[in-house]
Amino acid sequence: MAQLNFKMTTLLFPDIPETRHQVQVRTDAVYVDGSSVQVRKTAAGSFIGYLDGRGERLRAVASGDTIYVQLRGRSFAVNRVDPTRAAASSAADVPGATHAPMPGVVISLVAILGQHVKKGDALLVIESMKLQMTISANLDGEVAEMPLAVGQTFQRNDMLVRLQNSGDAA
Amino acid sequence: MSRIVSKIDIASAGYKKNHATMMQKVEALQAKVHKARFERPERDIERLHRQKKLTVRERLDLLLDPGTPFLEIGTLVANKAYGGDVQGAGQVSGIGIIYGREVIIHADDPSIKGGAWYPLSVKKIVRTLDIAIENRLPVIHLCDSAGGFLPLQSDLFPDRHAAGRIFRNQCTLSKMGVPQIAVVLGHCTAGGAYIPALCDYSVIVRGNGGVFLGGPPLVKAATGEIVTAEALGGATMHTTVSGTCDYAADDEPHAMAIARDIFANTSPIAKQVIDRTEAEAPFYDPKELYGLVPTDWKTGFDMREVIARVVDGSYFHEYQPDYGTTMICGYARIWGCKVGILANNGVLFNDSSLKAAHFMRLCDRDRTPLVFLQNITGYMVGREYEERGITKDGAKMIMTQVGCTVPKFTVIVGGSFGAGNYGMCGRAFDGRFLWMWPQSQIAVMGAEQAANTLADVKIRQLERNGHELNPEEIAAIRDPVLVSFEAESDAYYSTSEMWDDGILDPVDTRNALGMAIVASLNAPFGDIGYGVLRL
Repeated sequence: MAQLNFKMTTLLFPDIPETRHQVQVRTDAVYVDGSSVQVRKTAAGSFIGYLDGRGERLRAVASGDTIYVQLRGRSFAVNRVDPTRAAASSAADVPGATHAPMPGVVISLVAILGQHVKKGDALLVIESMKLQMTISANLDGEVAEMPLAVGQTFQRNDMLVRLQNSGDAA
Repeated sequence: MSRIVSKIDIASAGYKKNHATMMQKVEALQAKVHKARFERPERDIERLHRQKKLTVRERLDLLLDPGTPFLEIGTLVANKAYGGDVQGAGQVSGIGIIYGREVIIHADDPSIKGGAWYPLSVKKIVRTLDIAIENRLPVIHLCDSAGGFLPLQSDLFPDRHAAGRIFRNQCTLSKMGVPQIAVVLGHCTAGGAYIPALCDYSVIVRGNGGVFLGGPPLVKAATGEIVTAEALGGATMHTTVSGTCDYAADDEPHAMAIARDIFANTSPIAKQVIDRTEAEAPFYDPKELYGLVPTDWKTGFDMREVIARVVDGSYFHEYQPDYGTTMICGYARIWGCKVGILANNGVLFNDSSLKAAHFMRLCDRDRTPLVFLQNITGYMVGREYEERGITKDGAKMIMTQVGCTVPKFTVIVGGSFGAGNYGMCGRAFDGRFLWMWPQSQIAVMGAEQAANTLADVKIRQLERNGHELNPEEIAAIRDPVLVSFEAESDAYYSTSEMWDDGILDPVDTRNALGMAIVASLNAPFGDIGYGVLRL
């Protein structure tokens, strides 16, 4: 099944995420964004690719969804783009303010006003319907507003915390 | 399909803490299972061997193909009943393999109270035969029971799903064309005598096997006739005179060999065709499941991490990844079988309920079995949600789930509370199998909520009469409810009462599901059709 999945896929270089390349493995050649490249497998992990009639030796090994390629003495990492997840990531939170996903109560405040936090740091813990949820920073910045105290209840869409970039004007 | 990208850091302190806690739970489970399966007083084993009998586990070893898996059902039934010493309710039940084909076993355990049937023994046998009916699994009965446990007869004899149901289920199986073989290794007295009589084939061991409606003491009391057990209902009489049994065996290994040979001569059952490919191990190590579940059940966790350690290659195609995000829906494979997975990532809202209902209909139409991974505290409550119709949206999910005719499987991974249990195919909803993880909990509501609700009602009642409760009095109302709720929400309580088919070591989740899904394909799925949705 693993092979089947790679018959047609989208690849990107992680350091240039905006470029995406459509790769199709067909019986006659490998097609990259519509242009064909002849590829011959010589041994496990070793290939020869023919570009403009000239053969280039390359080595490639896949680890999870990342493929590591050695070509002309340089190493490249190429990531496989997951089509469903690529769509999901475009709908990320608007940075800055976090609003309550549902009514609940504040269990604890982890960060304090004015604190510098990194993306992913825990800011506060809320509880709703017996479940506790940690609200984390969605950007690097400073805690500008955190209007609720421990034990206070809130409604859906109430603002729980607002961050601002350290350089931003208030 | 895409491989799930795990975000778990197995070097983190949180992971290690969770892992250590879960390991303790798993070791406790293994100890309990070992006790239920193997630990017996020396004198009981000696008595069996003196009678030229084998233990029930030795019998299974001789009956089933060597080295094949045995998916045991209800290993810890009755672990919290009858003082805790009727291990497994004196019954062994499970799906095994004979000549490469699945069978389901019902075996009395003569080393537990002489194999007597307690009320939970009857529940376990009935459940075993229900599984046989639902999945069209041939049955092998290993009969060696002292009969019904008389002091509790009112709990095991008269009701709809009591002992009579065993025989009703046997007749139903026969009518459906599902073969049954009885091996009579001890006495089958009174109702128990009908088990071999209602089977297609029966084997009886010389000397030990006996089948009679009334044993020698009862015959003497009733009519004055004095007769030995062997003359009254032994192997020679039944295989040469009455024709109640078909084959006489010299000893137990001989009996098991005959039973295997009989089974080899029954017709194989054609399996339902579903989308099935070669199986592939998960990309992420299933042992990492131990570190996923937070020690405090109130803390949520991403169920995708569980899915990644259960399904083939950790591949998962997620349906509606940005809609109703507290309900994860998507396609994956388990043992090569395509399944639709519904997994909780939080409370059920209107959108998550509708997403689940739509996804289940897609799976049902495409004949894709459904797997429910529960960690659910319920459907969202409150005015805003009621106004948006949370009750009718939850009803759509339940109505659709019940209407689905593909096999359904449930694993309670975390909490299973309130109507969330219903929507996510709890026990009442005829899933083919339901298992729990050792730390999981099941109740109509959380223990604290229940205690507070009851205390609140009581306080208001007394306030109306002009009495104000002091904190001690409130605690006196609240605390007993809390204690009993917590005890009865425990996975071991659930499995003791057989509200589930067993407690799984999380690592075994994939294989239990895989074996169950493949077994379920013996039965036709039925026609597609649903009840009326309140739209």
